[in-house]
Amino acid sequence: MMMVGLSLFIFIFLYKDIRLFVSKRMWERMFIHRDTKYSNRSLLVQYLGLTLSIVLVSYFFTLPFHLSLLLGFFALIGFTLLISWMFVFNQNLHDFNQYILITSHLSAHFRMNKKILSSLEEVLRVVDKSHHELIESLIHDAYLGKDMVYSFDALSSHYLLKSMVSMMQHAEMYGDEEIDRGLSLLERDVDDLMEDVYQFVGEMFSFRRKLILLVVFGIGIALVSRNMLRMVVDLNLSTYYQNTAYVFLMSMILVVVSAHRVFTRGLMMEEESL
Amino acid sequence: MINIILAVLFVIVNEFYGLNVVMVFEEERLKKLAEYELPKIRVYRKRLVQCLGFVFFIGNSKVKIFISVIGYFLYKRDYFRMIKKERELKEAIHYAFPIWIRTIQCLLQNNTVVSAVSLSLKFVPEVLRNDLEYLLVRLEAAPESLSSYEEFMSEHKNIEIQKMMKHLYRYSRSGSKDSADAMFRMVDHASIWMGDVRTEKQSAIISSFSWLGIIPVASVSIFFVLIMFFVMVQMFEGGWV
Repeated sequence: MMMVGLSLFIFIFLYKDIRLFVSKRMWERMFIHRDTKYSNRSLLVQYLGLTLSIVLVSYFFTLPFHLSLLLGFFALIGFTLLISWMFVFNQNLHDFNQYILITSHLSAHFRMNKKILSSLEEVLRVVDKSHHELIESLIHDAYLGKDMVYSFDALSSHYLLKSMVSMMQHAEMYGDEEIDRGLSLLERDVDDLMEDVYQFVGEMFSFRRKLILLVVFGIGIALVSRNMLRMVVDLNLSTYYQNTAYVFLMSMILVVVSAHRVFTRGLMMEEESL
Repeated sequence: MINIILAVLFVIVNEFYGLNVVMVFEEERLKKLAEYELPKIRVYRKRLVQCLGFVFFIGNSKVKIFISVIGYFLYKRDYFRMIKKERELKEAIHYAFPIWIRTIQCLLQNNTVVSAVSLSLKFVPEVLRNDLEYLLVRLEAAPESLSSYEEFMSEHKNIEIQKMMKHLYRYSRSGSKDSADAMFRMVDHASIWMGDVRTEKQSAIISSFSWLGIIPVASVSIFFVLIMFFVMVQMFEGGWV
């Protein structure tokens, strides 16, 4: 009873946060960026499926109902955390994609126009709505003749963008016959960056998969051991056994939740910002 | 009694002459790294020797062994800290240098090496700024001096940096065709370098979470041991017979 009471208390304490996380607005923000090949929805469904399975498996471990309920409750808290982490990941990925889009288009249009202002106007046509305001403010700064290297900090302070804008500004002011060659070098770097970051994202997913696999194997082995020992002694009614099984299953839920924490890491390295 | 007198005497002597006896770092590179912290470290070590020495004189043999072991690590605390700081600095430089060289390569399209270095200072990674400002001063004084390039960050003994600086020197000295070749070699080299350090960093991030993999394995082992223990207790509850 005490466990159930504690769970209810925590639930009431976190009610506002949970409500915010599962609110319609949050979900809309999470799934608004559909330009990525990674689906948050499938990750969340997989998480729900897995944690629900753990809660169901607690039946085979003969846990009392209130402890199974408590496991379910912690899985729900994990779900709210997962939503916020996936939101961060989705936002990072979206920002990264927009960064790549902006740098490549800016470079391509500058080759033709040789003007930052007109290149930015072209970029505005292709960029996502979420970045419209930012590009418009950059256009405004370019129109006023401000130092664009610092203006672009609002988008990103990544070294590639800084080098690119600096070269463009220099070429615009003093002329530069070799600008195309310089831009080609930077475009090659942008391509390399994109390749490295997508490989990094792939590794994040692979890491999560490995951990989940370990959890599944762990639960399987525990279930087999438990069934084996049950033949010798009746474990079902022992509080000692029930608490041990509960802590074990709880740690498994904790690992499943923590496996998703890797997605909160930034996709572009801090060291590359100037 | 005599031990207490010796201990007090040691404290008094150490108070007056301790700072002269205390060694900070033998390595010049560590002394340079801890330049502003040296007086603080010196005072810390003097006080440490004073306290531990006092306990050493009055304690028995077990205390003496304990004090010697603990004292060694406490005495070397700043040394280990500086070694760690040096390693982190080296890693930061290894990451930042190809970024700077990429900027330089872009600027070299339309500038001489000296003016490219000067322009690059606007967006140089902070970890390189002081060394680059010093390089610029030397290059402005003697643009064709090989030693200016060779001695740039030579204290870090990074072969990649030294190789790249030689490419840069060759670029500054060579004719138009040769300079293009030198440039392309630098571009290729910097691209590979940048890719490597980025991938290493990404792998390090993933590895920082890898301890999570121990939890399922450890949990299932502990679970098994605990229920096994429970079963054993239940089986032998009534005694061995």
